[in-house]
Amino acid sequence: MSHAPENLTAQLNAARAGDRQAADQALSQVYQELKQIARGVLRGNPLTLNPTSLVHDAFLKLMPESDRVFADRLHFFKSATRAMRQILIDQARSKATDKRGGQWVRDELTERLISEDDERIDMLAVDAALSRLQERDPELAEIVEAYFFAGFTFDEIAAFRESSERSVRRQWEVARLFLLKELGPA
Amino acid sequence: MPTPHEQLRALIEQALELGTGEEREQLLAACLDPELAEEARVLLGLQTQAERLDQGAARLRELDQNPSLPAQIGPYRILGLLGTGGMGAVYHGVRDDGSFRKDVAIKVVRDVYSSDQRMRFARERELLARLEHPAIARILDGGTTEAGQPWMAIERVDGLPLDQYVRDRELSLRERIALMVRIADAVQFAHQNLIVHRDLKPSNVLVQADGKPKLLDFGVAKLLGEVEHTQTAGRAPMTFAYAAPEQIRGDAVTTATDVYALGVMLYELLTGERPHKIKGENSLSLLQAITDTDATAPSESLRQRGSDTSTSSGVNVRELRGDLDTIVLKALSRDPVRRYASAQALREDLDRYLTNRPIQARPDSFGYRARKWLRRNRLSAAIAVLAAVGILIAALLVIQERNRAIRNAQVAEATKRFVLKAFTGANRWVTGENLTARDLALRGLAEVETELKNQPEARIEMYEVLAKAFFASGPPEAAIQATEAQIRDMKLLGRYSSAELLDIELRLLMSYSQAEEFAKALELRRSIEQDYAEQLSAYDRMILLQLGVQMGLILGDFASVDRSMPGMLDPGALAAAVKSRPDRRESAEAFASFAYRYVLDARVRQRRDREVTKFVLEMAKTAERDLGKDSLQRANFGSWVADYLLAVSRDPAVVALEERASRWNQAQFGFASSSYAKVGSLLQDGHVELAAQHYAWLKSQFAKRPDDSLSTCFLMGFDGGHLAIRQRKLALAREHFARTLACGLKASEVLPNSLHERDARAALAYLDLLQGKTEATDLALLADEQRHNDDAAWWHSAAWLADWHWQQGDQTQAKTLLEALRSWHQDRGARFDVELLAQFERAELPVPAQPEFDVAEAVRIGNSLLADGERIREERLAKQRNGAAN
Repeated sequence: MSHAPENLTAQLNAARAGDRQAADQALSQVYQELKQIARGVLRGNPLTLNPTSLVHDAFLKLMPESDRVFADRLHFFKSATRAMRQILIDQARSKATDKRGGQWVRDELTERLISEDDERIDMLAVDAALSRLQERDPELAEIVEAYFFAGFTFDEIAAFRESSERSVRRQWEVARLFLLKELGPA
Repeated sequence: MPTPHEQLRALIEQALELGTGEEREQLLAACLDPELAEEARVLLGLQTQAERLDQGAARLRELDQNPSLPAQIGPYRILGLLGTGGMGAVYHGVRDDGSFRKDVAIKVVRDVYSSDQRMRFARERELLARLEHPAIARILDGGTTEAGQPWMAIERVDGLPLDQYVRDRELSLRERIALMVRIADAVQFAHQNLIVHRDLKPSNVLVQADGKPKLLDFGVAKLLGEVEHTQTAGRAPMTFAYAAPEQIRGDAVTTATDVYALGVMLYELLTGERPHKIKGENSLSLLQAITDTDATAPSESLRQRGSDTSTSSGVNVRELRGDLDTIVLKALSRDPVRRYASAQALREDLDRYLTNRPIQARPDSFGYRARKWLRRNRLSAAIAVLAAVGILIAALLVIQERNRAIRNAQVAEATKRFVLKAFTGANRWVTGENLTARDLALRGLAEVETELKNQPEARIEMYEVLAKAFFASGPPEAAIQATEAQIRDMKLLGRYSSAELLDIELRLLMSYSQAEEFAKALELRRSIEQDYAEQLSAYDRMILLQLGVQMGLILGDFASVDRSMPGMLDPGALAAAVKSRPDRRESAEAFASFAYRYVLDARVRQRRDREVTKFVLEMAKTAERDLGKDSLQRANFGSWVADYLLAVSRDPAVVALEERASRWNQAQFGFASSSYAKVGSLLQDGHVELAAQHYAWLKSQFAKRPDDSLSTCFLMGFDGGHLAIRQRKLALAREHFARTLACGLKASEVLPNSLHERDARAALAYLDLLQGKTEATDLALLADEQRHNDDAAWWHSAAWLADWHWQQGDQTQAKTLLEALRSWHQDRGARFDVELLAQFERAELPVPAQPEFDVAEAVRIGNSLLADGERIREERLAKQRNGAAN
């Protein structure tokens, strides 16, 4: 067994020191928790960033100082999805390193997303493509972050952005084309 | 003008709207910019590859809907998911050893990152392992998964939930009660093992085919149940239907809580309904009904429904009226104390009912009790009572211990919920205000009282958190409010040790002193010294002593400084203070250095310059010796050495040291707070212009940090007033002294006829004299009073009077005063003011020589302390820079 993480900062440090397993587990939990919180907020629950939880630490770690006070729920949503993207990418990176090192860490989240070798999506490539899109079109990039990286449904994204499911879906379809172009041939 | 990207995006959006057919091609063909159209074509052509991204996106959503099943937990193969809660899941597991197959329910806590959760889970598991009872589902195994999640395997019970079972089998009244007897037995067994179920309800009691009940979800129910509370509170009011009033209020949960739940189940078995019926989905009104109203008697409930016989239970009103009503209502008392003392007592009454013996719960009627009593064997009854009492007391003691643990978890939960509510107030989303942590804390403080009305422990914990936050970052008034409330609640609850209380009272004392609530502070200090005489550690005593001196200094009570001085500098007491609080070694080590500082503050203001020189050197040596080599405190003391020296000497080496200290303060604090003696010292030496500059600078610094404290008032008021007099700006001087008098009067409320009041009155009398408003006798009387009190400001008054008499031609009076001034200065080794020296010259009296002090050693140590601080600061900065670079 591995030790359960107490705080993310320590976990991330541990990851840097080579303890990827610990960090992966911690991050997966943060990811799920963030999504739960965001969904709760959508249902009208107050934002519950329990200061003793990992999520709280994750936010401190992943958010720029200026972003730590949320002006409104959309602001929180954006910050949360950005954090979730960051988490996936951190995990994809550590996964890539582990593979080269011959290690294989089982983890629900990364397992499903990254390890299905035949049709594996190169998360890091998508991330890079998204970063380029972000410069040109922050709005589309936010949709991609929320849909692709954070796994929210069009409905949920629409609720946060106070727009319609249809228009979010359309934006994703547009964003998808730009991303594919950035990604180049399969 | 849209950017090229915006144009491209708009075009693509349009094209997508039009589908893939001809219309899209027409749109692109109609585009005026052929390059743009081409780019759009390329992009739209990529639509065939959409899969590449959609698959990944879809997988994340799948993950949400079906968390993957673990293949194996411990020795158990996982067959499926039995259920999930907010904090974990229950799986169906099986252990298959070829010849032997065992089905289990495995509970796994997902929330592995909370050490609190892990600890509680582990403790539950340990406690549950003790619960070997035929009517309790047994825990079989436990461990931790590879992912670090604690799990436990529990016997899988094949049976029907209690309510469904009695319905399906159409059990008779007596059968139902017999079933409750067995359930109460199991609960009693758990209580004896110090486990409170807290979530008893029909779905947690499975009745097997042989008619034997088994209790589920012991402990774990609590773990998972709490999440149900918070997460489904709005949607599933039924979760609360079995909760006791104290549970809903968040008060201490005891075995009586389970007795209440047994009462609800009994009620339901007898009448087919729950005691508190609320129409609709409003859980709030249900909660209110449970906490605020008594349950209707079961028979009455049936009668109200207009039938003599319950359609669902087949029980009729007559059967319920009397004993059964009494038993149920006793179990459902809102006050835990008035319920059955134990599940055992409830069980016994049910048993008595079944065997037609008198029940215990009969509302007191001596005749009734006596009649039944006398029918039985006196002796055996007496023995039974005695034995029961003994067991009860023993059990109570252990249960109390156990409850404490439960209570703590509950307190934490209530506190957490409160913090979340107060600090993430839903209206934030509405108003969009950006709240700072301090705003939130202030708001939280305002809400603690109402929000945690019935949870004294949670409230205390909350006050503690808030008080600490305010104590560290202000406002002190808020710290006081929180701490006072905390102490009040702790005393009311009466469960705290005096050591715990003392800590908080000391913090309140410091808050009072910070907020300059001197009257309250002095009163509290007295009461602490009295009430905690036994508990006070050497460290605490030193804190009390120094706090008293600090307040004395602000109030101008130098006598109190002198009284406390031996205690503050007693080497034995200082060593004991360090020893008594190893955790606060650093501050304890600075006690001696601070003691010198306080003494020096007094001596400088008393104009006892010779003693100032002596104590500066002692302070410098003590600081150099006692303060840690890596303590930034060293530099602070270096800068204080400079300040105090400057008050008695304008030696170039001292001036240079002071400049260095000033740079230090500026760099370290962005605020040169300390050199308060500088204005007075410059004025004495006749550097009026320099003094004015320094005063203006000080004033600008204070403007940056608004501060209406008494200490600032006295510092800026007297300096400003004397400066203005020297500048012959009499109106301005009057303004300054008038304000100082107001502050002095405030001080006098605590310490009657305070030094500051006397000083300000004398200065104002001089101004009145200059403006011809009064006679010289007024000032002379005030000066006499100053002299009588040994006030240093007497010399101002005397010098003013001497000058006044000289001007009026009364040379004898002037000379007498000047001679008194001479000996006064020489007695204390005080430097003469240059204008005073000029008066000697004018009166053709021998001009006194300025005192000479050897300050070389103190200056050397001062420089060395500052150098240490500068070095430490540089090192720390470099470390930070390197840290940031990595």
